[in-house]
Amino acid sequence: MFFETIYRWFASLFGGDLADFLSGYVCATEEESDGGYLGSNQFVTYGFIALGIALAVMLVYYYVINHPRFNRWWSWLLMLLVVGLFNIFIGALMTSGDLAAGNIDDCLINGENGGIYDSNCWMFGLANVFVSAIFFVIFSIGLKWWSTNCKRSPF
Amino acid sequence: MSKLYVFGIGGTGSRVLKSLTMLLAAGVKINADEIVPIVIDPDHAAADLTRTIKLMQDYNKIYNRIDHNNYNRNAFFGTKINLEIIPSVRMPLQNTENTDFKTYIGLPLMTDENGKHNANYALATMLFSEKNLDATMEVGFKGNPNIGSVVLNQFALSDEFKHFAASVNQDDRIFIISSIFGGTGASGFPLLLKNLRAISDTQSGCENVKNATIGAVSVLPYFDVAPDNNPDEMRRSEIDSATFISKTKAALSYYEKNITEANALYYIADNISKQYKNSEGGTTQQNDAHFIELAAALAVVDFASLTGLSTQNGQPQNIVYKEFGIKQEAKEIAFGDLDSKTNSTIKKPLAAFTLFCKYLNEQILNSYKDQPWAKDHKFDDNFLRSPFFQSELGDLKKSYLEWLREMNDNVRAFAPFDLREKKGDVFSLIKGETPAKIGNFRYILTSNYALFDAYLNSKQGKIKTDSTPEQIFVELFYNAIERLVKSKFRM
Repeated sequence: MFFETIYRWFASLFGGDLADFLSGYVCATEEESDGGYLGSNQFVTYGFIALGIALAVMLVYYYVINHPRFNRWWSWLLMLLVVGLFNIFIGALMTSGDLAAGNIDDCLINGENGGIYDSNCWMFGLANVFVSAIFFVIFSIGLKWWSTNCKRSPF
Repeated sequence: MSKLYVFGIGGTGSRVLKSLTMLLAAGVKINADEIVPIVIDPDHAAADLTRTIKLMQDYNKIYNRIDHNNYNRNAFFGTKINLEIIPSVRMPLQNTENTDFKTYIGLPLMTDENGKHNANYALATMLFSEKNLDATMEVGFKGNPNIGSVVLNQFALSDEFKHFAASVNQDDRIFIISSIFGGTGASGFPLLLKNLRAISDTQSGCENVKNATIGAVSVLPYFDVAPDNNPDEMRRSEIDSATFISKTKAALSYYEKNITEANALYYIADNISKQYKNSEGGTTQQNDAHFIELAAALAVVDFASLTGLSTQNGQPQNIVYKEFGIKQEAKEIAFGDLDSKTNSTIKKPLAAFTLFCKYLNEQILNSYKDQPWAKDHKFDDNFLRSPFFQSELGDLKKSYLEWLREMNDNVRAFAPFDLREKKGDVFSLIKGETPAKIGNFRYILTSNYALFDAYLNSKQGKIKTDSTPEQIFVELFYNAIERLVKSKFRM
């Protein structure tokens, strides 16, 4: 629920149908009765990946690189960009993979909320960037103070 | 609280005091709690004198802004230079301004009742040439010790001398710096020594002065001055370096027989010398710093550590004679040319303080806005605009680097450091030594001033913060530089 809540802040970017798919929505079929949120919630997976990448890059920046010439605001922004790049591709490529593999039910692909196209997948990748950026900012603020050279980056 | 009174007589006295101040700023340890500098020089406008006094005033301001408690590691500015006993630093000479020597000694009044010149007049004109008698004394005695020996005899009458005498305690020591080949120093040293040992019994503190342990360094010729070819003989400079050696011989001969009141006597000389522009004194008398002056300053440090010296009834029980030497002949002296004792005294402090000054000169403006060591302690624009940073530490840093450069360019040169700005090779600072590689994996990609910043950042968390910004600043830099010097120079 935690991750889903955050991702749904950006649902207007990637569309309600993809959001429903990622929440585990399964379409109703003729053989079985009603559809619903019967599948696994993939927001949790994406959320943990985004969180893990943000944490890893944060640790690398503050405690492995930890360099006095790489502690400016732009150094931190560069690391945020790295986090963003990882997450845009992970978000976009994994969802478009699901789309291409037919893992998404037709009722969602042709859904009432605009359906799901490749562009929705890339927009989800963008949403993934925003979510991972939130984690990176929170981790940076909370854990930077023990870094000798970068504790004042980005502020 | 033991004090070491250091009298600097004449231009050489001022320049040696300047070298001593530089050594103390760098953290050279001296066995005294306080240094009390006193300059005796009738040439009030001499650039060497004014530069030295300004330097000591800056040093004193910095000293007063930082803590000197035992829990601090900082050794920069570690010894107090006391400017309270004689705030002007100078021991004034009265009636030497706007007057010539013949008026000073009252030559026109040396007449009998008939107005004819008397025997005193005859004696005076025999002892002093016409040029001597017409000489003015605003810029010193222009290489004429016979004038100096008359005029300097009065300084014991000044309030400053009385303040000095009253402040001397039993364990305090006195050191006298003078040159032997000029006018002021050559005449002032024996007179001062005589005045100290034969101080009036009515003077406050007289017993402590009379029986104080006294040391002195006599600096023999180590520079020449260019001949003055002015066709007007009366306007020609009285300073003639052709007479330096003969004057030295005459003075040494006098010292041998008459200087028996000092507990320790240091002699220093050099057989290579540089020729300076001829200046009788005043604002144009500004000689470049020289290694001989640094070595003479080391005599002060050595004297403070001497043991077994005693004086009874104004007479030393034993006299120590010392000279200074280097390990091997070199026109450009580096640390490798100095003997181990000299190196153990000056090498680490000078290397550390030079790194400090170079960082302030070359790097701090690029670092203070981003580095945690600066941001955490608010070493911001306001701090960098403060009087401490600008006019005290800033001026002293400038003077220190100038002092090193002057010694580097002089003959014989003292050139232990490569002072060029080399941000890509900061630690090739000590000539003839390859900086060590740092084994710590943490710093494997960090070098030059980035390494300096990294050490500042790593040390800043350990600095006591309940102190003034100036104290934190100096303490932080000393800690970081001490570690740098240890890891890069193995000192």
